[in-house]
Amino acid sequence: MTEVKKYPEEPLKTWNKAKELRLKYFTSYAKAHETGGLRFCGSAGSLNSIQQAFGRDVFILGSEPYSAHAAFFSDFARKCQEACESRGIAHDLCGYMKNYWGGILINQFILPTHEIVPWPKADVMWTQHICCTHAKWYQYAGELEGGVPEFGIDFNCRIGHTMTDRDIDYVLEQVLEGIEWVEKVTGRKFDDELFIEASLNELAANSAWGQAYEYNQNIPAPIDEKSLYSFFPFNILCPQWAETSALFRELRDELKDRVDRGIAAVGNERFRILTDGPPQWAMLQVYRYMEKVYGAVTLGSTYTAYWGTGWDVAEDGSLIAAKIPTREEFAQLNREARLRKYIAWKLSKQEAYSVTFTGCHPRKSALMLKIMELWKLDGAIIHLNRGCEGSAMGVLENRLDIIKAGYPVLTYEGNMGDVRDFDYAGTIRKIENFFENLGLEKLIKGG
Amino acid sequence: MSSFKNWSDNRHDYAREWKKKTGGKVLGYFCTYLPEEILYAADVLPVRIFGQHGSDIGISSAHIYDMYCPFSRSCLAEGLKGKYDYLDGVAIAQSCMHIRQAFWSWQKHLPVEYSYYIYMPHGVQSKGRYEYYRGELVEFKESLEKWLGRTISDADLDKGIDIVRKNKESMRKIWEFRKNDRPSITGLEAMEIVFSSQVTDKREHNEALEQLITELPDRKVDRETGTRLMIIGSEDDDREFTKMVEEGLSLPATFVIEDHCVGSRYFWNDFTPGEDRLASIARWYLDRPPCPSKDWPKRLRFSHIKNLIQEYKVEAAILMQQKFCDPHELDIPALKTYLDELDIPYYLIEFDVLVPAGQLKTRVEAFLETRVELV
Ligand code: SF4
Ligand code: SF4
Repeated sequence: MTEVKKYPEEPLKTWNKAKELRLKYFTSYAKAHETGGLRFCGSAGSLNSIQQAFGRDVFILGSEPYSAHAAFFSDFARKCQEACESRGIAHDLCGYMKNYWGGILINQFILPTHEIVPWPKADVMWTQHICCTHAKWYQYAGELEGGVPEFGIDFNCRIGHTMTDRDIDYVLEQVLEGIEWVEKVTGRKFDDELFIEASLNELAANSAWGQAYEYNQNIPAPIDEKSLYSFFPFNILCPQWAETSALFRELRDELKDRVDRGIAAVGNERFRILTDGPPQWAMLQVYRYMEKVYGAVTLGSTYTAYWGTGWDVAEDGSLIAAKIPTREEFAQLNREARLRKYIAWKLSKQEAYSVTFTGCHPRKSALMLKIMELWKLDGAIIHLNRGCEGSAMGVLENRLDIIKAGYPVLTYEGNMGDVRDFDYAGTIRKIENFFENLGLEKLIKGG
Repeated sequence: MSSFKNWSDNRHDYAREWKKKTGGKVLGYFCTYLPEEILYAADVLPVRIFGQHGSDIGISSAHIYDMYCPFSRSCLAEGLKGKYDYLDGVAIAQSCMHIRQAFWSWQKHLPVEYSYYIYMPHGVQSKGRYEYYRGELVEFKESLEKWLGRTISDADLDKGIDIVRKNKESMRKIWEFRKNDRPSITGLEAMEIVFSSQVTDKREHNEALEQLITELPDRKVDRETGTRLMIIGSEDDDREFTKMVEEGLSLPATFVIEDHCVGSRYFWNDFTPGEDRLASIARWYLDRPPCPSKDWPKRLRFSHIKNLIQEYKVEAAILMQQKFCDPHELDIPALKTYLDELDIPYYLIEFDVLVPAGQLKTRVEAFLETRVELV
């Protein structure tokens, strides 16, 4: 058996807080009407602070993370998927969307406690549109729910580092129209003070996430990506809540402490892996298998690094969690200028949208390779995700680019929202062949 | 009429010949939202990149994941096989993800002198869309000027607008003849007219259209019309299938209209000229009957389909669903409900460049027999 260096392990202290926040998030959305609140629904990360500015009792459902959460409960997800298919909805459409549409069709919404409650009908659909599905998702959902009004913001301009003033203006114009639209359909006013508070929380959360994320550049890594999955959705679900920035700061400090003390996420760490896009949520045991049997740990991706998070690029090319504006900088501006600054921060510093959706996969490959270099990764595992046309964009080209740069790449097929498209045994076999080819022996015989 | 078929059959030879004859440059484009007017203004020949029915697309499987539509994979496959080796440039006006992927892979593996990505808005109902797309066209024009080393003047733009506008107007005139009880052209001929318009020099195409317009009033159609069908679909240049339905079934049928981009969607709306040429071009493209991927938050497409059904006296619809075409699949559930409300029977066909049309024959026949009231 190969000699393996052993690092000390400890459970994450902030873990339970993430669990509590998740429960609060979904429950408060489901119960919003009990206290006279409003439900806004749309793609996660559709400029949350703008929506929050219509009242503290506005609860926003980011429906991809909801659907990912539903996918964990594979029997429940299967019911949703089948409800769609029996209505003639194509099998190959977005796996998340079908968990959502299916929930409406069977009138069931699942909470993190496994409790199933009646589907909480949205009051307003407010969404960004990047992949071809987003705004169409809520268009039909609104129809299924009996006519929920929808507002969509087109993000199909240059976003990420190539964003220009003209692109920001395009988004801003739409946002200003959207504010008027919400005022009309809800009878509520946009509250500038509330926006300032929410947006400062949001940017602080996004930035703290980046700071926490950077700690995984250390060997051993203080947190594996599987655990990061439990935290990072808050970046797009409720970053505008003060609890989220507090949680991310706490996580950051805990990771720093773990690094200082040499605490590892996986004591047997010996092979560090980049992933890509949403995984097969109901089958994260595949990652556990790799850790246990091979000491191979998944540590990062453009997905968890960039979704909702802003990065600045230093002169030497390294990525640094983006700086955020101060309260004074925000407060002194008029509404339009403030929104502009917020939009510019949200969309120009985070590349996930642009590299994934507007489809510049040359840029995405470059970012993947940058993360591999800075996070000291040894190889990549790419999910060929049948459930998401967005994250499937360019993945095979990314694969070729990573191989060309000298790293080994494993691909596996699945569907983030629908376990029926995943072959567990076949994937394990692929993993074993992959590591065997790399000469990495099993740490556990017969594992 | 035979010119349209010949051009459709021999598009690569045509483009090669054109280059030889004119010494001009040819640019391949990936979606019909690309402003061809500006290319004609620059004396560049725009040709739409198509796949090839019945041709193996395995060569693209290392580049585009097979959950993307066969059309996008087939387009790239044709490029990788060298069928488009005459192109001097490629461009895309941002449309669905699948065809964007074909563009990016093309750019990476098939380098040409010039390559350009236009950020065509998806929000064709969004505030600011006109100004934004106009800005994109300004930058596109500037980049063409840089590539070609010449200025594109207002007079050039007027020329380009004129060529494209005339082409689209003529096709609209011709489509009027499809409203006849005995349509003067078949669905197959209509498809060849639009297909060839997208792969030839529109000046030459315009001459053929004008000629056809003069002939159509007296044209005798030696076939039974049968059921008046409409195609509602994803990208559809499947001539074999169209021919099979119109000529190969035991029950007569004719495609009298369609809503897709190798059909009426390509030329439907009027061009409104203005002092600011690029603004007028931007407006024309944004106001087109929308591709399903751009039809949100309001559904503008369905009322357009309804108008077509009424104007062309459609009796049944074939929903041509390119396999894995998310934009169209996303519309299907609501579209079915809509057609039910209009009392229009429909049949959904999932097609693939690799599926021979013959396999669908019995299914379409059964549909006509069981769902359509035959007179
Ligand atoms: S990006 Fe993927 S998950 Fe999001 S809407 Fe598109 S297909 Fe669905
Ligand atoms: S619109 Fe549909 S058929 Fe056309 S390229 Fe996109 S996915 Fe393919």
